[in-house]
Amino acid sequence: MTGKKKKKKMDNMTKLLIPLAVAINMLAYNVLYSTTMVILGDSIGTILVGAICGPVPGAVVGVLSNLVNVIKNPVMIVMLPLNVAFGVVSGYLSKRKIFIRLWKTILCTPLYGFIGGWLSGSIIFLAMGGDFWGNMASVFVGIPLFHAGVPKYFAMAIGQLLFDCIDKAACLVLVYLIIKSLPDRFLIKLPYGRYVTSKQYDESEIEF
Amino acid sequence: MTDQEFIESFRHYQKKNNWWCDFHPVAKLVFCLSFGFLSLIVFKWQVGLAVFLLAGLIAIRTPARKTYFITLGVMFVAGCLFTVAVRLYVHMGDPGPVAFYLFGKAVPVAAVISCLDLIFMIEGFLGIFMTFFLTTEMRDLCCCLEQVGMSPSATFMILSTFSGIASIKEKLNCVRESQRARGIETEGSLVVKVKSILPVLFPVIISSMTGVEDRTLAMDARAFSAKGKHTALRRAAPAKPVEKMVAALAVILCIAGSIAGRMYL
Repeated sequence: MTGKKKKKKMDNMTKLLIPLAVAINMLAYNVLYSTTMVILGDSIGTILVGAICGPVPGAVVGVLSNLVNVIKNPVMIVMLPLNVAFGVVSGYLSKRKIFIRLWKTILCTPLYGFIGGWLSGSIIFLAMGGDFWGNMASVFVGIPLFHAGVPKYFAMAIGQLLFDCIDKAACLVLVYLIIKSLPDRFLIKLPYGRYVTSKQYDESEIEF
Repeated sequence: MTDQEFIESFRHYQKKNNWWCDFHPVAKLVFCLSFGFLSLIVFKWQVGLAVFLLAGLIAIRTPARKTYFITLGVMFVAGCLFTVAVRLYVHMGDPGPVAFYLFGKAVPVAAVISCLDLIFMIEGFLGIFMTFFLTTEMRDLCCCLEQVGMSPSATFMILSTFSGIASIKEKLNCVRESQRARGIETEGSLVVKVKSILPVLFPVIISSMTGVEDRTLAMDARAFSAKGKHTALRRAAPAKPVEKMVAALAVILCIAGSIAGRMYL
């Protein structure tokens, strides 16, 4: 046996779930954002696949979702690392059985909010010439904070963080509900399925 | 098109009889990425304008010119004007040479230049990418990416992502109609719309996810994971030396332009 770690191949179910998750991201964005104007929902698929398939498929969903967004708005390419981070973080949280309980899932909101809010605010700030971007977070929170004396970078980052925490809390609840709605016999066939269900199965019981 | 012509179309390289549309997809992608990033990295209106004009010159010689200019106009209104208004509002009354007065407050020249930088960066970046996406079929790009060494699994994921979005949208409309037939209100006030989100969204997501099992079996039955070279229906012409040279020149120009732009502009 060689000392090298054997490279794990992605199974076909994961390969099919990745494009589906990208489509879910688009679908959720269209349905949720057009109705609520606060909840984006464009990371539901990424978090979901990260939670049930692992960090690598989650990251792939993040990359593909960003590439699809780039067609509509190429400037969104700067947000690619954030989408990847959502998938990776979901995978690691899932391994710690976070998605089994709703309260544990909701408690992760600040972590996702930090990635999607603070870090995205920082990227926008750096990529867009160190100034405000025309979004709701800047208009309703960032600019009033800036006029109140908060430095521009912090004003923008705080605004983004607040808005993103609302979005991510809703996304996490939806992901939890989707996972709970999926049958256990389906979840158990996925690489990280055993971390999101409390039921225990013998390998002999599973029909592949 | 007769059946025979349809069959014959797959026996030759895919051609559209337009120089830009027939440009090798990977070389075209490298070219567009280089100029797009040049506009983003330098972030000055002079460079953004140059990239925007280059994209416009290319687009005008393709069949997609109408869609190109309409989309660019929509993105300008939706993406740029609001941000420009926000920036001008933030900088109103700042010290420095005055460009003009807005609602009785001075707008400095620096703020106007900052807005121009932003507008042309976005329009340049958007323009050059749109010339790529509007003139390149994803299946041709994936075919060429496979030729240069990308794994068939990766290209499969990219292609099914694009086809999956269209099919899930169809499914959403179908579920929306079904739920309406069952008495769930999906249109009306904001409260009604919010209440209808879960009954519409959940069946689409759950049924799509559980349907993956059947598709996995279909993939296994067609030996998708089998080792060996995968076959393709469409054939893409290999990159010509000129196309490779254009892509390489674009990369060199991007690196040199980025350094020079950051230093001198």
